[in-house]
Amino acid sequence: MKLTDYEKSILSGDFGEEAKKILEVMVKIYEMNNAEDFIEVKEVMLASTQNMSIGGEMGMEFLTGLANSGIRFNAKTITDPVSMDLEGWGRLGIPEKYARKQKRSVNALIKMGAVPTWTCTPYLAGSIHRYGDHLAYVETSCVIFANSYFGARTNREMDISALASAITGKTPNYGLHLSDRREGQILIDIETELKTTSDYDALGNYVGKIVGTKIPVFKNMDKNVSTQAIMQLGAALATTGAVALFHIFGITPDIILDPYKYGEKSIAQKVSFTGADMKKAYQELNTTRSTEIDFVSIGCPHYTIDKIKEIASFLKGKKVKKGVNVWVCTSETIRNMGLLSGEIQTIEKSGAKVVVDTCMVLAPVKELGFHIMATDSAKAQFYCSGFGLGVRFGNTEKCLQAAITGKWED
Amino acid sequence: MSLVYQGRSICGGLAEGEALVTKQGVSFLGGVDPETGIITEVDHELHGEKMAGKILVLPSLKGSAGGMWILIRLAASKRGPKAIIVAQADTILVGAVIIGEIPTVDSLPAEAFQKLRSGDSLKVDATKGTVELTKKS
Repeated sequence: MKLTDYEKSILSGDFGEEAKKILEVMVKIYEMNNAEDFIEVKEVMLASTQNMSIGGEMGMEFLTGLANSGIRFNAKTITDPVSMDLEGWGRLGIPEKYARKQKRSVNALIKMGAVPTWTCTPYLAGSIHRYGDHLAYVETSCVIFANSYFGARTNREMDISALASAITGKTPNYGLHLSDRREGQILIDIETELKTTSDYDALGNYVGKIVGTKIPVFKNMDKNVSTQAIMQLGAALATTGAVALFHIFGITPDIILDPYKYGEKSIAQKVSFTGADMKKAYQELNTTRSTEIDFVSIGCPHYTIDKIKEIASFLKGKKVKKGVNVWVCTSETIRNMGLLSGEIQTIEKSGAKVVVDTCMVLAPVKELGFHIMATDSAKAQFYCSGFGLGVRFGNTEKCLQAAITGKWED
Repeated sequence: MSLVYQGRSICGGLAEGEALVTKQGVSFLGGVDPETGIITEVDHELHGEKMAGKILVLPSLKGSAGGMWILIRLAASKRGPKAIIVAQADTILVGAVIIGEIPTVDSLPAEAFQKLRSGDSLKVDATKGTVELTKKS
């Protein structure tokens, strides 16, 4: 293993305990995976450490200690959402004490040189990659999107290994960085028509449960599928499965370049996705029978501008029912665009809130007092059910109807 | 007569105590209470069990990468496991146990996982990668 003098100095403790442990983790992962060398990464993405709701005070202390040790990032490093809207936390009902703590970890990351993106769709805010670029990403929906859609290469990192890449600019060369580890293993034949973006959520949710850690290959997908639908599919797949990459015949780059290698050579199993499977997926995604909705939360992963336009056009001239909280989650970049075109104002005029820097999965939604949530995202459904909320899952329009009436129509 | 199994060191350290054994993966985010270290996943065979002061023996972690911080928080508040014996460590576990300083061993012979039962007394030398079964439950 070749380490630079700077890395050796960190490992000997010259930059404090935090940095030393981070590099020890990198060395251990290198050894465990029998990596032969390190490769340079073009971009790093951090996720859970900075979140008050996940890393908590431990994560905050850890990052503050690291920033104070003089460590600065050598790789371009972007950031996943945090647990609150960094400007508008007050109107979401987040207490001030909580907000102050969250801001400390945010400031520590900025001090070390992070690009403050605070979004799970950074590719909508400039993180565009070339085929074959090496990355070190944490956010699972971004890992799967970058690997599949761009044909860039990243393993499913966690914060400590990603911090190691941010500090050193490199990652051990193993797993999905190697072409031979990217071959499709299970073929999914789509035998039903997918109409709304949430149909792709249902597909991802269903397939994730079947494939586990295997790489799925989709056949017979509509060639005109939207980028938003592919985002939904990936996020859902990476939630119920430990999936970091998928291929779609005729659509994603690995399989366009070499259909045999990625779509045939290592296929050991074939599965169909029928209309009945879709129906079953929708049923399983509804984890409550209650029809009284008090929280409508959409935009997981963070919405595109196309979706913001769709929502503004639905909500124009309508009013959200009293007692229902509506969060439309997106990034600061997309919100700014929507403010210029007036769509954000239209959405907010209805009583819905356009929420940035965070989402229903990362904000303390249980503590904020929500009980029954409506969402168009299978990923949001999974995590919010885990937090104890009853969840109704359906397409975007159905969720917006519930925002207006306070009722879920079966 | 005691039995000694040789594995691989993931994070060094010494620990002695009672084993808490599961054949199912554990999800620390959403499946374990971050304050008490009690396993809360409804369908889990260790549902309701406390891991504090025990040596946790498990096949693997499952679920979100954010679970790493729950394990680190439990270690800091002494409500986490004293040591971990895992069939196959993944990157999330490596991160958690090195930051949380939890003695951890993986890659023991398959026989060890068949033999170990909850309540067994174990002595773990995670620096050398050894696990000694000192008393059967």
